[in-house]
Amino acid sequence: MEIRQKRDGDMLTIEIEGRIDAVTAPEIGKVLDNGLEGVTKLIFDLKDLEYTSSAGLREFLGAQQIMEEQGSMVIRNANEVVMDIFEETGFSEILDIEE
Amino acid sequence: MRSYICKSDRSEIPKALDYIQECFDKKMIDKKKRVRPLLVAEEILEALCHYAEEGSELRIDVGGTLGNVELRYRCRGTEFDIDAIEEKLFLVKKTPGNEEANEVIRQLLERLFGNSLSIRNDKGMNRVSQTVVTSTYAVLIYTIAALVLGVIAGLLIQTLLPAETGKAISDYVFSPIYTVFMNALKMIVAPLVFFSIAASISEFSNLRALGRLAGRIIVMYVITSLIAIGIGIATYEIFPIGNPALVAAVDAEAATETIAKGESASVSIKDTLVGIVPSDVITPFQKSDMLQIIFMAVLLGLAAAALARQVPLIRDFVRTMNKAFSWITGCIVAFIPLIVFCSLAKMMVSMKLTDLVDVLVWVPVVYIGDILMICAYLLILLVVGGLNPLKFLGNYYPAMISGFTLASSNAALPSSIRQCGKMGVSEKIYSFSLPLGATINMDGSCITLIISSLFFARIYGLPVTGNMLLSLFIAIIVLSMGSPGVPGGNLVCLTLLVPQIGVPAEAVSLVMGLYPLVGMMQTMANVTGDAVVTTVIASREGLLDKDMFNLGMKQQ
Repeated sequence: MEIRQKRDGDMLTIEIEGRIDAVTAPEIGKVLDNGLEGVTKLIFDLKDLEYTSSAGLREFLGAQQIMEEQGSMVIRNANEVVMDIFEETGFSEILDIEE
Repeated sequence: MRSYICKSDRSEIPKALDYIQECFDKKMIDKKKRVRPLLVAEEILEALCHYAEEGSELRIDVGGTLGNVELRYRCRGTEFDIDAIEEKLFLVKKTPGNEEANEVIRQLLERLFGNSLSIRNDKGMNRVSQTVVTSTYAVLIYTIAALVLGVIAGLLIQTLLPAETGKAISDYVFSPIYTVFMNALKMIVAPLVFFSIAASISEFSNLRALGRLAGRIIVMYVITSLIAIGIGIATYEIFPIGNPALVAAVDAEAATETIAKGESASVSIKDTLVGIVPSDVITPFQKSDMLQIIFMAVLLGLAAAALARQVPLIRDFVRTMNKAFSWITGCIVAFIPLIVFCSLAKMMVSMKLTDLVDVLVWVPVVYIGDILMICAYLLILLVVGGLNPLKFLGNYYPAMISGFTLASSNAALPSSIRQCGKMGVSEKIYSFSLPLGATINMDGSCITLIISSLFFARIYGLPVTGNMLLSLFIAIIVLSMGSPGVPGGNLVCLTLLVPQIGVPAEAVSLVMGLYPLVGMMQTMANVTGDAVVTTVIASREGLLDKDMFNLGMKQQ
């Protein structure tokens, strides 16, 4: 899994490529621990994300909890497989997902 | 299918998941239905690898009969349980929103794991069994097979053996098994219904934030349930089924007692209403007085909801007890095919085959009631919502078929949500209205309960009084809202309902074998009702895209 970050003022875009599983999910946590200071808009661009496990859902939820205190978070460009996971787990109603 | 064997190493997990996907392809499991089992499979594989003995092998097999699909995992290692899997997913960082987030994760875990996992360690070998698909057809086939075999066994005994021998087999083999089960069912029904209703009502505090809209939806759900009971009564007036000769097929002694009691009792409507409030909390359970149990359950549910923030333990207690009794009921209900066999065999030892037809007619009559209810829904769409009912059917029929084939409102929910979205209903409404309806709006169940009650009343020669109808009315509305969400939950409700009108609970054995057939049509009526109410309210609130609705399935 690869994580790429783009910071533009108070907006941070995180692109995730590959698969999120229990082994790779903590890397997202590390990025969020260190990189959200001064961020008021967080965007997850998932165009290159193939799949996420429950551990990945947990990281998205954790990020949302943090951003609720300091701004907003949105998920973009999730593919069909990832969208199915969000829908079937009910996370499509919890996370802000843009089509 | 061949087993999959690999090293118990995390790096092997993606390939193991590919094997599982292949199995799902071969079993033709729908793409969306694979999502949750795959998430669960990944967590199982993670845990097995984490607790594995060094150098051990991981083995995956797929099995299951009659449409059921099960994954079985084996790996040598130290013992672990489901908590070990779940704990890893909770957030541990100390942020203000953690509690809420962990509640979301708890609900996710409930959705994912539910009752689908069994984990045990057998002399150092971890064995995990994951239920992927529970086929409703399996239950249907076993129950119908038990019914047919029971009828054949009873007829053979009647035809080939002397009457005394037949009676002895009935008294010493079939009756004891049947009695044990009926006792177990009667034992569990009161606490099950009590905690199920209390748990349903305790969740209502979440709806306060939704306010007016939620209130309108709930009111409309109650109105459609009242209409359903009316339609059930009307259907029964047109087809007044119930042959008193069937009484002897259940339990002749108890039947005579019941009929005598029915003839002498005369309780007024005033007494029925006053009698709803018990004078102590123990006697209602001892007497299985359903109206009083429901009253106490509603009070407890309201208390749990009102005190949810100050004393969350009350709601947790109610939810926990609901789960415990649901699990126990699930175990008892698993024996239904055996009980159907014994019940039908016992019946057919002394009954004529032609009398069996008097039981079988129950199925088409309930079906007619459900079809009439669906017609009533279409009228509601036209008159109250100002919408074209044929367009609704054209848009929504895939979800209706899902309801029929899955025989479970909750299982049909994803299909219902999808079709409502496609026909232009705003997510703002259907996202809570449909799950709410799947829990509290069971118009099809109301029809089954009322027709069944009147059917049994006729069999036992009990007059249908205004008092009886009032009791049934109140009880069926509340039972359909708090109906236990377990397989056979409606049958359990019937077991608690009929003694209130003077019919022994044992009478339910007459229809037990046929219940899966009725369950399918009943669920189709239930899910259609949920969608109709959702669509009508959406239309009246300006939350329905009428162009999308009228364009319909052509667009898809």
